[in-house]
Amino acid sequence: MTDTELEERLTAMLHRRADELTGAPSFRLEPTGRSRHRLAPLGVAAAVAAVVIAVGGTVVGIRSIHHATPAASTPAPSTPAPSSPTPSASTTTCTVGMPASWQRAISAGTIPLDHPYNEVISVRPGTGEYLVRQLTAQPTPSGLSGQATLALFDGKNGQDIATLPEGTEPVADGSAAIDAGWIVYGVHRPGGNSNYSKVVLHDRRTGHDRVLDQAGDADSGDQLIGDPVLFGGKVYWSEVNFAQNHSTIKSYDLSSGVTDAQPLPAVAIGLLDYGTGLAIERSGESSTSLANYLGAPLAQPVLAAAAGSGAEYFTFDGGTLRWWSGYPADVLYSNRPGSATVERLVVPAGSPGEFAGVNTWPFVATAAKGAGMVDLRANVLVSLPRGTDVLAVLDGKALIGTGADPLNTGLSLVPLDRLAPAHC
Amino acid sequence: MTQLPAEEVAVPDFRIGAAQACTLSCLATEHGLTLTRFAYLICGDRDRAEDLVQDVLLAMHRRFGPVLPLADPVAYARRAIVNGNISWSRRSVSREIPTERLPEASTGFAEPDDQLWQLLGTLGRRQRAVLVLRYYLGYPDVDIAEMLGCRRATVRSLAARGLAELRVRLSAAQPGASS
Repeated sequence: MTDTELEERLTAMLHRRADELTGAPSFRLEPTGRSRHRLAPLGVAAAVAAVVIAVGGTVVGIRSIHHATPAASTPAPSTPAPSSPTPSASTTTCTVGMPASWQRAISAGTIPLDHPYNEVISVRPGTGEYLVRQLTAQPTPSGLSGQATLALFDGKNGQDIATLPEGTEPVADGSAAIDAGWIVYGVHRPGGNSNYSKVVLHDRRTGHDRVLDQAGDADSGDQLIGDPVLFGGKVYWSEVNFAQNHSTIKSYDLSSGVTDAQPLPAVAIGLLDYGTGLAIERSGESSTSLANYLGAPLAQPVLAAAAGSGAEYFTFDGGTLRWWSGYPADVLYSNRPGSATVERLVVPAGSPGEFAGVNTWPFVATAAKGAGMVDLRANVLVSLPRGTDVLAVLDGKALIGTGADPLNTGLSLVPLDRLAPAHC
Repeated sequence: MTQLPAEEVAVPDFRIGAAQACTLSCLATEHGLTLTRFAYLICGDRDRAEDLVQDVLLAMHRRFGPVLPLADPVAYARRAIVNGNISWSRRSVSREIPTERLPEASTGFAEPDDQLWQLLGTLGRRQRAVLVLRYYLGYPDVDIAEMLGCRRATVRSLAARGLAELRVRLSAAQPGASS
């Protein structure tokens, strides 16, 4: 059965099943006085600061973002601890609306753009550079119309890197797609079920593109998944075969041009460049986990904490590895490479969305537009107006998406000192 | 009927002016069947689908009152149904409730669609939600990501994995079929 046949069969089956229901039940439209605050304990837990857990015989400090207590200063438990983290909770202190001064600063920082839809898909940590996926139309169920452009910006100045074939768009890792000489990205066709069909390497000095890999026949079951990453002078990407529970980690040496392929008896849905090393994001039955692959390893307690937290996805940016669990996200964990300290931030109820994307200190934003953003300077959840989306902080400036519908139509670059910390 | 607390089905406020508002009663009467069908595909159980929709309507009443200041109350309700179903799975298993309706018999696959339906139920809730949104409602990935509050890359991964698992299990159930 081809992918197309399966999709058609699935579509027909879903409609037939839905049509089995021919009459709506009578719904009650007013509550009858039941308690509605079953999640109140989250608020009660707000003041809890530090706990210590033992994972695999190693002590891991999990501390509140309110109290920067070093892990080493917390006492080890005298009794055996659970094998997965069950720390007490920390939380943000309050939720506030976006300050009016922020809106004025965002308006003043508008970046001139020549496309109607503009998505920041990757940033280069430590610089002012970032990649923008520019579209002429939003994707529809039938795919993408028009040609997408990949542009590299430095501050407010952008230049086109590639114009992609009709109906395709670029995808890139959030923080490991750009270096001084190269840009690596994937080519994706919206509307299909595949992840991306090509791995492309762009030479910034010559402007030439090289296709490093292409997805095979859909019926082979092999898929390019996750996003390609630049790490240690090589490009890495993952080809996965779900049916065989197998992956191949492929690489291309930027200096020698030598390619390599290493088999892996697991489904590696992503590669994570966390600055000092490269980890594999493995897909499990109900959550994902990290495994060291190259470079300086993540501390074992951190790997264990990530595995035990029910993590869904991981991001690395601004020197911090973050992951989150729950769906919608209710707990965000973060860790600096090499550290055995894991910060745990409980997201207030009613703040759905993954804490994802290319967020950098001092902000952590949800991927859901307008859902909110944590200002870590004051541990305040700032409720952003729909259409405003804090994306990253680069070179002391906040990169902010505007006019989300749901894709950003505009971008703004605002010096951090123009965004005074939000207060309760 | 098990009731979800308002917080567990909360979604962002996409408010509009009162002049454009529709009522909760309007949502229930004009879109109740549509929402119940969607909930059925999301959770796979008719009784639970009705409970999900009921809970979402009550949560919306608690949050907004009888008049809904929302640009698209159906989309809001759909998102709440998806989130409510996922939250439901995280709560105690002791919430089983007696019912007069017997569960659907599991007597094998009367026809290929039944098999696919049963296999859909073996997927994770996120995978299932993505497939229903994509192949029943025809949502593009960007809208699914918006509805689920996740990255587009996440949607791509969930869909690819869900389809791959369906395909593998279909092949396993039909030894003669090609993989």
